[in-house]
Amino acid sequence: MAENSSMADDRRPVVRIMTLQVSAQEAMPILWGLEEEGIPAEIQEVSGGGAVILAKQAADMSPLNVGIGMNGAEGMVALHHRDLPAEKPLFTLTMKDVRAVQFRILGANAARLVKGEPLVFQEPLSYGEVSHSEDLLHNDSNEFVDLIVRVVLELLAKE
Amino acid sequence: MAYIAGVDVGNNTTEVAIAQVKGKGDARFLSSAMVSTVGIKGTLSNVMGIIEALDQALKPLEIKRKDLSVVLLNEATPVIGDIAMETITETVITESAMIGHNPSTPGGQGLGLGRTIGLHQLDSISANEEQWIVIIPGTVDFRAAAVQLNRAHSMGLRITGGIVQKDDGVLINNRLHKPIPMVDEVKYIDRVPVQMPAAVEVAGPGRTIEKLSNPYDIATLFHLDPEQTRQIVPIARALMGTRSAVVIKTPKGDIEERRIPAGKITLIGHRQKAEVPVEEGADAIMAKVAEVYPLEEIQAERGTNVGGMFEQVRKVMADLTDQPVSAVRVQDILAVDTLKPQQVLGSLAGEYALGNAVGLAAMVETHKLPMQRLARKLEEEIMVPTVVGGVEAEMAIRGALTTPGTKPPMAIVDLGGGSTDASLITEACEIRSTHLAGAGDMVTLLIDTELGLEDRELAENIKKYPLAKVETLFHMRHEDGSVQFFHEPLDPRLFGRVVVLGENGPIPLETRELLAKIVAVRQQAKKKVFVRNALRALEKVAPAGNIRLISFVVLVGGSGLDFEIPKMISDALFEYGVVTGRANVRGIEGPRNAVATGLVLAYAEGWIETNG
Repeated sequence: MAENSSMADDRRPVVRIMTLQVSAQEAMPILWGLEEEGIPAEIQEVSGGGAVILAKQAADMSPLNVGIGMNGAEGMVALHHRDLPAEKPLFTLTMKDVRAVQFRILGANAARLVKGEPLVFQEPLSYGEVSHSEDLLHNDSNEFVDLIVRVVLELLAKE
Repeated sequence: MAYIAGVDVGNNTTEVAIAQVKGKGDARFLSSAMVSTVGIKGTLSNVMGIIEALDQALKPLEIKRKDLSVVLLNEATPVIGDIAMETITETVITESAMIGHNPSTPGGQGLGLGRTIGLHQLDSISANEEQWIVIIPGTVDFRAAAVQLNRAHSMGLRITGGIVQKDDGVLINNRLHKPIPMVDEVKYIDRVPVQMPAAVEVAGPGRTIEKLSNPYDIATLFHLDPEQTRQIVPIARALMGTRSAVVIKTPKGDIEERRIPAGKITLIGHRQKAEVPVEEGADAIMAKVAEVYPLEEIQAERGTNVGGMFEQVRKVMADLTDQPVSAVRVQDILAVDTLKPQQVLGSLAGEYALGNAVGLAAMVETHKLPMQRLARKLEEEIMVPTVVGGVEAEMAIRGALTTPGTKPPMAIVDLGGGSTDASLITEACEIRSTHLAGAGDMVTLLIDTELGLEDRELAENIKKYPLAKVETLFHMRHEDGSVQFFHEPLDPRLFGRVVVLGENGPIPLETRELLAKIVAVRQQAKKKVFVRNALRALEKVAPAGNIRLISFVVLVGGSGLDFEIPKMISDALFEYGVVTGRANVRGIEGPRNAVATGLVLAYAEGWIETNG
């Protein structure tokens, strides 16, 4: 039934992403993270507020108790939970210098927080989709070395 | 009147009891202490631990070390145990032929059958009756992949399933006009062969695959003959219980469950000699052990894990007692069957298959540890006469008999780290003891192996402490179902995880195994080792080998403090009509301090006023 669907009363079960001065481009990876985990999400543009405050508002509004705030001017993204104190978001990210994959992880973690599943702290292995060589050398070097070691070991084992 | 100290140097802890002795048989206990043993039991480095324990016990009494009349050391029984694991079967895939794993979020649902094809090749084929399973490498963005699949679909190509490298299965599927089952997070996707018949199966949430885990369904899908069906059994078995899977039929595809030669064990008894291959499993080994009993020596084949372990344990004992290695014999073994998750050789997504393994514990025992040497050293250090007084088993019984509510015939069971020890005192006050291979370290090894942790310390923690599941940022549910709330939010790294409630706070487990599974593995390991060995040991010391003839069994040592072992042993002994429980030495010490207390009591018994 269509009850009053004004903003304040919108209690549909979605993880809300409140954005201020953020392009859709920037927010999309967060949505993908949630989508892959199967939790509905929705972007809502607002007129004011810091990322942490927006995240807290979003979390308080959602029956899923989880919310995300993004403030482009501040350059900040925050993930919040209704039960956490307002000034203590679960995670914050600075938008500058952060690659899309980390936004996607933030989205995945928002979803996992809803589902009660272990959170992701490590980036998945990059397969060279964007800025490939850099990823492998700088951020995933350990995993990459592990991979090489495993492949070599397996080849040896076959001998 | 004199102050005396009883000191028990054990494998893990050094315990002290201080008493005032006024006359024959009149000992008043004043204090006790316990510290970690420094160095291997029986070596001179033990002195440091002994002094620390003495000082701890003396401090509240305001007595100085030099006020002690005598320090009594236990005649420690030199028993050393060690453990090894021998893998018996492993699954080997020489040509890539299956993927079976549990990505957290596979795409779609159902079963798809077709030939494998790369995503980029879809443009170059034309529509016909052929069905395809598409391979989507990680270099392709999920949106591009969806666009290409939709285009292929509109051209009339029949695409029935997907194999995806990244965690994109849901994202791609949500953008398809016609959803298909997709297995994602397949790491080594470049090893997936193309143009080969393949099947993809994804089960609904909370369910596991049905077709690809059944050999006859695989045979139906791929038109296999009976011999081929026999060959794919290991695949079907490896895929049981997973939520998504891929099976690919390759022309030379070769999957086998290989039996690894694990060597033989030779059992030499008083009357006969027998050989038993380790790969026949724990039951066969233990049956032979019982048959050949009483055992004189056990030998294992060189070059095997068990052979290496045997050598190691004998060498440690030889070093410790200044004997040639050839004089040290392995006198008991405990074999336990276990399952070991092993990475499937040649797998595509890092799959594991359960291989069979046998865990083996061995025990060596010699006549005497050089405790006299230790006594002289201690005497030099603290300037107090030090004597070796009394055999450990006898002292332990004396100490344990101070437990209120006990009387002979009584047996004590000490489940240690390396060995399980039991002693019995009869109504006529005769004492019989036995030492068996396999105890706490074996349990740790089994937990480590079955959960595939490869982290002995973590396994040790899982053995010692209960588990809980962190359900929200503010509460966890303990393994008994009770809920604990916290005022401060828990570390997000613990969220959604099974944790071990260690002494220094919760330790998260990386594994995705359910809490109930981990509890089951832990309890099974304890039953396989502790309960079995308690019964084995009691049978050896019981009158006529009959446990029913023992009235009281008390558990002493650290394992008596474990949160579930006393109950397990009590349950097992209940049917024999034996009163079983944890010792309460002198009515206050619990299962600790039995030997130290016994030393003091024995000394007081033999007290003559003139030697005071």
